[in-house]
Amino acid sequence: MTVKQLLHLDPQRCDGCGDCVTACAALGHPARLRVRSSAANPGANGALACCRHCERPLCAAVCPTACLQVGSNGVVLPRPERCVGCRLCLVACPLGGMVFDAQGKAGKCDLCLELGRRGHPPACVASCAKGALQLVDLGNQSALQRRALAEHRGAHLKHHLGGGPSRAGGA
Amino acid sequence: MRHVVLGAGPAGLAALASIRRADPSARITLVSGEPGPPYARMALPYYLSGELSGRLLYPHPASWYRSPGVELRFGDPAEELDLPRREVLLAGGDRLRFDRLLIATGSRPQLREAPGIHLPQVHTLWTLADARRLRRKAAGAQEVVIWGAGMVAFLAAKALLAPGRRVHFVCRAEHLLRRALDREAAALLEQVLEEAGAVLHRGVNLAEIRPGPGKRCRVLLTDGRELPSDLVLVALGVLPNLDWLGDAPLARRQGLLVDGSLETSASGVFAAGDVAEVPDCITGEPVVPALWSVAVDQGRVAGLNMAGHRLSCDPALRANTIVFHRYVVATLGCPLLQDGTVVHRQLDRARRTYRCLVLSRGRLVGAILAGDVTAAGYLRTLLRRGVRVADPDEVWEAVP
Ligand SMILES: Cc1cc2nc3c(=O)[nH]c(=O)nc-3n(C[C@H](O)[C@H](O)[C@H](O)COP(=O)(O)OP(=O)(O)OC[C@H]3O[C@@H](n4cnc5c(N)ncnc54)[C@H](O)[C@@H]3O)c2cc1C
Ligand code: SF4
Ligand code: SF4
Repeated sequence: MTVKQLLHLDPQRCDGCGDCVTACAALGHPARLRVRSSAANPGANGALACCRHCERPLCAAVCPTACLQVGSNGVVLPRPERCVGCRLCLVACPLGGMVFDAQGKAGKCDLCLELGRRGHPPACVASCAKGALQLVDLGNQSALQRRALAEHRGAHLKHHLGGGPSRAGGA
Repeated sequence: MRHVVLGAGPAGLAALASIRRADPSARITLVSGEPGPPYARMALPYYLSGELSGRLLYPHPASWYRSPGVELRFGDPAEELDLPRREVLLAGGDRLRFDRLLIATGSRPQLREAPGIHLPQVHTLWTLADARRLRRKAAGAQEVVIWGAGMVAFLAAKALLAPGRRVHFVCRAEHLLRRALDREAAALLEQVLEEAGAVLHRGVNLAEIRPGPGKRCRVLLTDGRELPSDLVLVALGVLPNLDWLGDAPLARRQGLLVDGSLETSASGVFAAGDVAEVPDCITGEPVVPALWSVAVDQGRVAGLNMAGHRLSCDPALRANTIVFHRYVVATLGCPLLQDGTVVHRQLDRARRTYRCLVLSRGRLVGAILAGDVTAAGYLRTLLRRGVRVADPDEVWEAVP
C-alpha cells in the first residue's frame, strides 16, 4: 500500500528560518528533516531533505537486517532493535530521508502519525508560520498532480542533473 | 518455469523475491551451502561484538520463504553444473533440473600460506559458523592480531575491540582501507581506532606464526618484531566462490562474465553478487565489487530477467560506509582514481571532519566523507548520473 499523505515544501515561501527543524527535534529525537530555502539562496532550488515513503524504498531493499519495513499504511519505518547502524540506507536514499541518533540507530520521518491520530498536523507543519510546509493528501490529487508532486521530491537533485548524460544502464 | 537459485545471500534472496513477484506461479528452489536459515552476513560483526542478538541475524521469518512453488535446500551445496542436461548436482546427491539458474554463491576469504597459518588460534570471519567460533575464542582473549587492513579486517577489529583487549593490525600498506580511503580519511579513522585500543603496524607483513607460550601463539612480522597473541584473524580479501563449477564452460576472468542483463555466457544461466564481474559505473572497467548494495541490486535485476523481463542492470556504483561507534566515513564512486583527476579536499582536524570531491574532465567521479556523511545519498545520485560539476562549492551548497 502506498502512503496517503506527503510532506511538501514550497521553496518560494520558505525563508530558511529552520522553525520546522527545531519543532521536529523538540519531539525528542534528532530532527528528521532539513530544508534549504530558495529565498535565502537566490538562484538555487529550495529543497526538503526528508523521507518521502517510497513505494519501493531503496533504503529498505539495501538494509542487511530488514530493519526498515513498509507498514500497512505505506509509511516506511525502522524496527530499532534490528538496526546495526551501518548507514547503507543513508547512502541509498537520494532524498536525505535517513537520520541517526546518538546511539547510531536509524530514524526517519513518520509523518507524525501519532499526532495525526489525535487530529493534529505534523509538528513541522504546525510550526511553519509561512505556510511553506504542508501535508498534502495524495488521495485528493489528480494523477497529474500526484506525478508533479513525485517529481518535486527530486527537485533538489534536478538542480544538478541537467548537466550530462545518465551513467545508469537502463532499468 | 523451473528456477534454481544457488546462494541465499543478499543476491540470492533479492532474486527469489523478484522472481516470486514477477511470476507467482514460478517453481523456485533456493539452495544454500550453509546449514540453517539464511542470515545477514554483513551483520556478523555486530553479532560477534554482542550488539545484535543471534535471532536478529535472520532478515526474514520462516513464513517469508513458505509459499507455493518455493522449495528450500539449506546445507546442501552445489557441486557440479551439468549444462547440457541443465542440471545442478548437489553434495547430497540430488540433481536439480532448471530452466533458469542463478549463480549467487558469493565469495570466501582468501587465504595465504604462511608457516603456522593452520594453528588453532588462527581464524577467518566470513560465515555464521566463523562468527560463533570467534565469539567463543574471543572470550578472555587479551591480544588479538589481525592480518589485513581491508573492510573485513576493520569490521573484525571493531567487533573485538573491548576494554582490556588490544587489537593489532598487520597492515602491508601505509594506511588502513587503502582501496577505499585516501590518506586523509584513513588517518582520521585510524586516530579513532587507536584511541579505542587498536595498534597499527604499518608497512609490514606477517612472516610466521609460532605456537606458545601456553595457549597463546606468537606472530612474527617481517621487520623482526614478535606479537604474542591469543587470537589471529586472517582478513586479506575475498575470492569468488566458483571452484565448484570445475571446468563448466562459463566464461570467466576474476568473476563470471555477464551481459547487461546479468546472463552468463550460457543461455538461461545468470550470475549476481560477489561472483559476477561487471562494468564499474565510473570507469567502465570490469570489476568484482564484492559489496552488499551491489549484490542486492543485481539479485533484483537477475531475478526479474529470469522471470522473463528484459532489464539491463545499472553498472556497479561502488559505495560503502565505515562506521566506528559514532565516527562514520563514506566512500563513494572511485575517489582514488589518479589519471587526470582534480581533487578538492576540505579537512578540519579539530572537528575531525573531512570531505573530498574528485573530478575528472569536469565530472564527479568519486567522493569521501568523514565525520559527517549527511550528503552521502545525494552525492551517490550525482555520481550515478555522471553530473558535471563546475565548482565544488556548488555541490555542498545544494545539499539540504
Ligand atoms: C563480516 C563481513 C562484513 C561485511 N561488511 C560489509 C559492508 O559493510 N558493506 C558491504 O558492502 N559489504 C560487506 N560485506 C560483504 C558482503 O557481505 C558481500 O558482498 C555480500 O554478502 C555478497 O552477497 P552474495 O549474495 O553475492 O553472497 P554471500 O552473501 O557470500 O552469500 C553466498 C551464499 O551462497 C551460498 N553458497 C556458497 N557456495 C555454494 C555452493 N557451492 N552451492 C550453493 N550455495 C553456496 C552460501 O551458503 C551463501 O548462502 C561484508 C562481509 C563480511 C563477511
Ligand atoms: S528513506 Fe529515502 S528511500 Fe527510504 S522510503 Fe524514505 S525517501 Fe524512500
Ligand atoms: S543503518 Fe540500520 S536501518 Fe540503515 S541499513 Fe543499516 S541496519 Fe538498516
